[in-house]
Amino acid sequence: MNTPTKKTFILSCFMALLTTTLIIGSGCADKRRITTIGVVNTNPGLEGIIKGFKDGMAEHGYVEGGNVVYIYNGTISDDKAIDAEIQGMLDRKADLLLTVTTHVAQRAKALTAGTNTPVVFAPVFFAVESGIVADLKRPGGNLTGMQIGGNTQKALEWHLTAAPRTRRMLVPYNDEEAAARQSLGELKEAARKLKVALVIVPVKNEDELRGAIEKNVRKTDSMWVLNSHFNIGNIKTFSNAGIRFKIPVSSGTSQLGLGMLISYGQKPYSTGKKAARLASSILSGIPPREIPVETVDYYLGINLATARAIGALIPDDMLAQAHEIVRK
Amino acid sequence: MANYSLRTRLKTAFIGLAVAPLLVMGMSLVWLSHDIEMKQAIEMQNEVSRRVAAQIEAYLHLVEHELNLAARINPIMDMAPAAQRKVISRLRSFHNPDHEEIYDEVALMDRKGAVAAIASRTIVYNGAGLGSRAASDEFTIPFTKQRTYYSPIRFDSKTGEPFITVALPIIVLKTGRARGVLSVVVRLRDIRNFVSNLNIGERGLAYVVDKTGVVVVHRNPSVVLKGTVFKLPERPGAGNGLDGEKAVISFTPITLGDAVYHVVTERPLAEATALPMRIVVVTLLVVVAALVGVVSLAMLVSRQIIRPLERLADTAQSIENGALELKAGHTGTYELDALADAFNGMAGRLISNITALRYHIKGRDETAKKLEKKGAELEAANIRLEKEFADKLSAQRALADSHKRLLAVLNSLDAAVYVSDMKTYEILFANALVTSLFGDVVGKTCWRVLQSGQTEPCSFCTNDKLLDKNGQPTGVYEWESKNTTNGQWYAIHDRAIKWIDGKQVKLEIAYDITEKKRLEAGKFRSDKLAAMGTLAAGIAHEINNPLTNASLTIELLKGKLKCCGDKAEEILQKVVEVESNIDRAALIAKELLQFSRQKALQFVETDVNEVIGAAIASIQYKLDGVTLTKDLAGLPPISADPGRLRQVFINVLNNAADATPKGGNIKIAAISDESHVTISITDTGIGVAQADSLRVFEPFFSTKEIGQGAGLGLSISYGIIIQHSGTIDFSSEVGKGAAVTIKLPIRGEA
Repeated sequence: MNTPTKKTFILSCFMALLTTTLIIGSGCADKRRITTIGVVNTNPGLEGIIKGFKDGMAEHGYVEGGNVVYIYNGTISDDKAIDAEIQGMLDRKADLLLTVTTHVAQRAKALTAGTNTPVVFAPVFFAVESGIVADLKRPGGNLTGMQIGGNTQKALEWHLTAAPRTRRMLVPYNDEEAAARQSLGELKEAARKLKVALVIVPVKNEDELRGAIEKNVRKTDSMWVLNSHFNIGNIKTFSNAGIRFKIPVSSGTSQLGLGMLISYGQKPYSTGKKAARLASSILSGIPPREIPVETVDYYLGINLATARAIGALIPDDMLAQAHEIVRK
Repeated sequence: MANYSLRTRLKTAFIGLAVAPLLVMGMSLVWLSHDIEMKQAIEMQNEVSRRVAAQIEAYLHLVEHELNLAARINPIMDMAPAAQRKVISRLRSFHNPDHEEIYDEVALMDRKGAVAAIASRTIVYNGAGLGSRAASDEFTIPFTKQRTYYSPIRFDSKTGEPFITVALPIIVLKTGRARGVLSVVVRLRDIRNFVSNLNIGERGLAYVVDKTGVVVVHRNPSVVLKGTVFKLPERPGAGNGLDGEKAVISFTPITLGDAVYHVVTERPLAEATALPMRIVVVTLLVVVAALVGVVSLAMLVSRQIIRPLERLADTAQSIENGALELKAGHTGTYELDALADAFNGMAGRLISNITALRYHIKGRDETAKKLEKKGAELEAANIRLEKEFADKLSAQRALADSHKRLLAVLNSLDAAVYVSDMKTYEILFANALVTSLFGDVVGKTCWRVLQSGQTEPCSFCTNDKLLDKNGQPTGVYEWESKNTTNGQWYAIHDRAIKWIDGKQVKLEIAYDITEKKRLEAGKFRSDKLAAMGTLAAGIAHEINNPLTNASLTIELLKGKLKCCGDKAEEILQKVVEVESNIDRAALIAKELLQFSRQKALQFVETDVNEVIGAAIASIQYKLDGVTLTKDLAGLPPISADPGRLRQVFINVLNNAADATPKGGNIKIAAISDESHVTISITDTGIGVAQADSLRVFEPFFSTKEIGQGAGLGLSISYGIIIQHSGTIDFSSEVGKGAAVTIKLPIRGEA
């Protein structure tokens, strides 16, 4: 065999091998990459959001323990701890942050300013009014997510259906919180429309809250829990006071399980799943600034145990319309 | 044609025959698979689209059916307001199996469109003043047309959730008239969930767009909230999907009320065509493997064929280099072994021939040496011949050069030179001037081509004068002759010379002397007229004195006739007759003096036009039936004697008028240059003969009848013009007319 024949043979074999390698290799590209998601939550009542988020992410191909790692150290309430937690996640190069509650989202916005770390909030109270995004359709920054708000009127209507004798309503209020201010504004409008007088009592801490309730509860026939970081953190104080003083306590938040008589708010699990859809879009390459902020769905919840405890009678047709009924 | 090796040709043939069918088959398979898969993908998506459309319609029809049932089972319009609110509230609370509320809002309107009861999932309506919807389609269409109304699909701007309003009339069964309208806002969440959960491959999706392309139902509310618009393609197939990615797109229209929507399904093209792509890959692998196999096989086969041939070629190369004893070996292949045997036989014969050739070569060595010696001799002779040839060639060239020079000299002469055979008259040579005058005459007979009107050798031919009786040249014979062909005069030198072939020939050299002849004739005429003038002047002087005396004597004689009585009258008549003759003689003497230029001129600045005009006026009476034309414009004034000049023109015009019959023309034309004016007077008269035209200026010469003139007019005119330092010429042709040309200097002294 002369030299050109050898060369031809070797070249043919090489080309065949190369072609085979390329073809086989092209179908086996490694798409696996570990995604890190940091979660910051200040409300233990909203753990359902995190669960819904994780389940939703799994439906979109981000399976915990597989290709995604969650950094979540449980609920925290201290501002410094919140900032430290967020900063720690940024230091660990988290691919995305999930914030639960308006306050956390505000902190995350401040700490991620100037970075490209995307933040999904689930939820915040009135995202624009809270200063978290500039526009619902085009958030414009590195944050997007779910918002709540606008449900207070309907919540109050349901409350009045369950407690039709309500004329004066006690409303403890921490005016340092933007969410509380906005929530109060909504409540005032609803109360005016539904002819309910509000007894608004400013509070700064739990003690003041207890004192305000003690002092004013007998002057009113109902109590309302505004959407605010402070109130959510002291939700048991509200519900316990309601049972103690046998007055209906309701809220536009989803705190049914913590003793509220009537709750008309989000389903945390559902909100979490929706937030997961937004996070999935972000991780697939769509920038948060182009993903509209969505508003959560509201669900009616009735706690019949609380109703029994305070002696309230819930109409059957109302029960028929409830999404969730706590009977025990 | 390219020269390829047998190895290359074999390999090319093998590969071409094996690979081409494989490629064709593979490509066909790929194309067919791709086509089928694409059609299947489109059809599958069409099916999904249709299923979604049917689901939406079925869902809404179910809603419509439930509302109808609710409206009929419960005579809701007859209920009290509180009961109505309760029913409406319960109706709104209907849930689907997933415990999702079906209706966002339920409203009951009376026959005026006023809202009697309303329940909303999200909005708080105060009991008093629920408003009126009498002007809305939601009320008017079901109430007046008694049919179900479907609103356009809209979506919540905060949640992206789609809604549609369905309103139906509440009919009184007895009358068939509408009493109110039951309206519900249906949450299309079930539809959205259904669309979201559709399985269209791994990444396929479905959505609903309205007639403007706005996406109203999509599993991702972000898409709806952003107001995404999708432009439907003209037909299902490959196109750009909602996010711009290439996709297989299918769509099915769905009509809800008056609105048309489209259920769109799309699947990424890469996913839809994944199977054909895998087929392509497999086919490619098969082709590559086949290519490797074919190349290996081609190399193996070509090796089996080529190697024996290469060994045969090596053997032939060795024999060529002198190894005659080598033999080609057998390979075990019949055809190649036969080729080796034939080759060995051929080599054996070659060896025999070479041996025989060596014997021949030895015998030829002696002959070769002799041939070498002869060759040297031939070479020396050849050199000599070449030298002689070169010398002759050089001499011929010199001769040719000499001939050229001679020819150049002869052609440059202003003389006509030719050589002719003295016996045959054939022209053997002619220079350029002869050729230019008479054409190409060489080889032709001289008397035929150089003269005209000759039917035989010219009578004036000088051939017999050029040789003596012994045939020897007599020298140069000079003579003059007027050529009958061109009318020119020539001074001719003829002599006999020996021609290149040894014969005696005539060399004739002829110089054109026509102009010289003309000058000589003119001078002769001038001299003649001058001599005649002198003679005329003498005669006139001599005659004048006796005529004067005779005239005086006649006067005296007239005075003495009274004494003659009866004879006096008769004598007086005779005396008067004598006196008349004396006067006539005196006039002639006077005219002779004018001809002889004895009368001094008075030069003044003269307008020739005026002079000619005056002359014409003088002879106008003679121009009966004759047309006279003038072309005199622009003549400058000249220095002349106008009276004498007028006499000249009168004389010339008189002659022209006399010679021109009625109907003829006389033309006077004048031109000028820097120094002269030239006036020509031409007529179309009878003309004069050539011989007479030479004498017209002689005194007393006339072609007119006797008594018509003394023949002194042109003579006098000649004298006057000569006195003006001018010239006067006459030319004529019998029957065609005559022309007198007068040339005068602008300055008299010229």
